[in-house]
This record gives sequence, structure tokens and C-alpha cells, in this order.
Amino acid sequence: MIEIIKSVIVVIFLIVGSLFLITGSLGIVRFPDTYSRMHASGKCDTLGISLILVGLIIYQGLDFVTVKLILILLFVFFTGPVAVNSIIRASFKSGNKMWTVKGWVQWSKERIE
Amino acid sequence: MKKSVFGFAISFIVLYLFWILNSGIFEPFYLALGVISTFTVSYLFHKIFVPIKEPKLLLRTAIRFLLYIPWLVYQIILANLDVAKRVLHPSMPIDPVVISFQSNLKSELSMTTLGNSITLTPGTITIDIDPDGTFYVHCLGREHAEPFLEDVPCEMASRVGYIFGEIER
Repeated sequence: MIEIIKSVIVVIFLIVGSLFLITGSLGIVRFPDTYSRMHASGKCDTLGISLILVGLIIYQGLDFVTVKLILILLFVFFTGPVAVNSIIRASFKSGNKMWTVKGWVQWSKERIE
Repeated sequence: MKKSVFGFAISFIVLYLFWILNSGIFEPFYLALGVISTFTVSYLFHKIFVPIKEPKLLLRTAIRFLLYIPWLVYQIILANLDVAKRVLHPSMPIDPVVISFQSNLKSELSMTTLGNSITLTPGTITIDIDPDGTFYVHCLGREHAEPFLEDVPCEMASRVGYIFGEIER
């Protein structure tokens, strides 16, 4: 009985994680510019991968493999934002335009409200 | 002299635990290999691994950081639900805006932590950080920009500053 409950919880974690990954990929296609696309990919991917890893940790139980999974979780959490930051900063430095409701704007540090 | 020994000891212990957890083998040969390699690495790099030199401060920082994580995870879940809602909504209700605010943080470590936290939380991404602590943030909607503009320093900056003992709460 406990095995069945455990499997159900694991499956729920995996499905919700995959749904977040799909949502992130859909956001990359739907959003208009680099800056808002990174919102979709950066956040949804981090949480999606974390949920899948948590599901795997529950499936594995307490083990040496669990420790490695927890370490992967930590690395994803620390490296995900750094990758997003570097892409956004590169996009800003190369003069990529930003989409707003009023239209496309070229912004610089001096022009911020 | 004493401080560098402390940093060396901390990084040696942490790295050796890391070695044991990753290998999972308790034969003397592998344990000795672990001692040799962790000794070399922590001798060469303990200045990078342990940037805080005071033992008391390090413990305090670690505890406050662990207490900060649950709040951050809660914010991340909110962020994801919000972004997912905007992606899946047929009319895609986004209104991007770039803001800048002064965080009053001083050290590079705290500014990195705040930058990463901002990127992980609802609808905001750090674009750039000036050395004087000014943050440039891209927000997916105008309501996401409000918490940063309400007061100086904003809630998240004061939480991060509290971890590293730079801002009193």
C-alpha cells in the first residue's frame, strides 16, 4: 500500500515538472523579444527540473544516489539564474531592442524612469 | 595566519565530506586518495572557497542563509505559477518595463545573491549591477516592479543584507 502511495506521489511530481518544462518551451515561442523569452525559459525550467529531481529523490529513498541528486538540485538552482543573467546582459550590451506595449524601444541606463 | 588556517580547515572538512558522499566506498586506499586530493585542493583554493574569515560570522551567515531559503522557494513557486499563467493566457497579458533601484548592498557576494534571487522570483530578471549597488531589473509586468520601488532598500534587498550583516532589520 505504501509503495503505491509513494509511486503516485512520484508520478505527480514528474508530471507537474514536465508540465512546467512544456510551459517554458511554449513561452519561448510565444513571447515577443529576448528579454521576456528569458522569463519563460529561466523560471519554468528551474522549477520543472527541480520538481522532477524531487520526484526522483522520493523514488530513490535514502541512499548515496539521493545525495548526488540533491547536489544536482543545488547546482541547477545556482547556475540557472547565472545563465539567464549572462544571456540577458549580452543581449543588452549588443543593443537588442526591447518590446513594450507602446512598441519596440532601444533602452540605455540613462533612459530609465 | 590563524584566519587562513580556519578557512583551510573548513574547506578541507567540507570537501572531504563531499568526497565520501560521492564515492560511497570506505576502503583505506580510496579514503587516502580522498585525503591527498582534498588537501591539495583546499590548500590551493581555500581563499576562494571561504571568503568570510571570522568563524562566528560564518556560522551566523550560514544559519541566516538557511532560514532565507524557504522564503525564496515560496517566491519561486509563485513566480512560476504567474509566468505559466501569462504564457498560457490567450491574450498574453505582459507589459515589460525596465527599472533601476539602489539596494544599499556593499559586498560582491551579497550583490550576487540578490541578483540570483531577483532572477528566480516573480517576473523579474537582473540585467546589470553597478559596483555601487544599483540594480537594473527587467520586469514582465508593472505590478512586479512595485515591490522594488516602494522603499529603499526593498524587502528582498534588506533580507539579503541581513544575511551578510550589512543591513540591520
